[in-house]
Amino acid sequence: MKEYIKKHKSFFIILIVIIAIASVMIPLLAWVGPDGLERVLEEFGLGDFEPIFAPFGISMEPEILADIINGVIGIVIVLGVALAIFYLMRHRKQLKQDE
Amino acid sequence: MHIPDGLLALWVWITLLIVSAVCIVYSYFKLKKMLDEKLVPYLGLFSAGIFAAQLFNFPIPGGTSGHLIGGTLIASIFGPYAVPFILLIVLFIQALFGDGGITAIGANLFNMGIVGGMFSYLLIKLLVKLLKKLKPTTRFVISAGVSGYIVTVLSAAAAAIEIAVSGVIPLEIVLPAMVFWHAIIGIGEGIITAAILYYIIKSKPDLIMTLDDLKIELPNTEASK
Repeated sequence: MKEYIKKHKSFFIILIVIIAIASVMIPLLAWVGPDGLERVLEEFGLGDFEPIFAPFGISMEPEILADIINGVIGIVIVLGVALAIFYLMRHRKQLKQDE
Repeated sequence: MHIPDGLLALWVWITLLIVSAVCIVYSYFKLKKMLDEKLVPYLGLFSAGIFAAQLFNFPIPGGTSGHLIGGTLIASIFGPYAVPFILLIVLFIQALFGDGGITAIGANLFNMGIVGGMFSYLLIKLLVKLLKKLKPTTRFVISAGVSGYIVTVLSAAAAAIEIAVSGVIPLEIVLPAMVFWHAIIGIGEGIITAAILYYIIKSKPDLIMTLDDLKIELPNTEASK
């Protein structure tokens, strides 16, 4: 994998830069209106649903700063979790093949 | 289209959790077979990319908004079995941030990953066959775009049915409302899916793992290998 990443370094750098820029720009560009489901629920007076378990969200003023921090943290966590899961899957496959 | 905690009836979210879990297990074995060193970093980056893309809500006329689901995009590039995994990771982390309920994760995965991703791949396959007179790139991009649009509406319809059978809003009211808004939101999904796929076809065609299965021969694939 290391060799592959080295070989395609520029592509990965571009992708990481895009994600980094997006993570900062997206909350700034985010439309504050409700999405399709939220809109329908609001129309029927069902707007308030508190999450049962949501330990990660940072809330602070200004809200836009919290959105940016949450966005960046979320992207990094997703990247880490996904790489770990897919790497482990690949590793298990390799072990089986070696047996 | 993230269903929150407390909206669905217990039996509905448990049933959908089981259905989604079965799909995850099935996809695990299928994906493991095709997983190689090349794919691992890309799957990671695309997971992060889909998370980032879902943060951006584009405005829709009428005071609402929509965001990319991404299931069709992943299915068109990596095939149907990568979709449930990527969306499970994305939806789980989103739920931990309070976007979509942790108890509704099975339902959200069913709507966005299974209907919006795995089923979407079947649609792409069908459309690619139907549009065989077009050039390969055009055929692939249009199929993915149209499929992205259709599954956005279908995912919304699935969510509406789940809400209705949970006894929250009658089906005859919630179904037209959900389908109406997502028929507009779906245009964005279709355009974004088609545009990103087109960019990848032009810049990194060897990344697309579905070409053999879809029987598409891109003009620049051989050269880039």
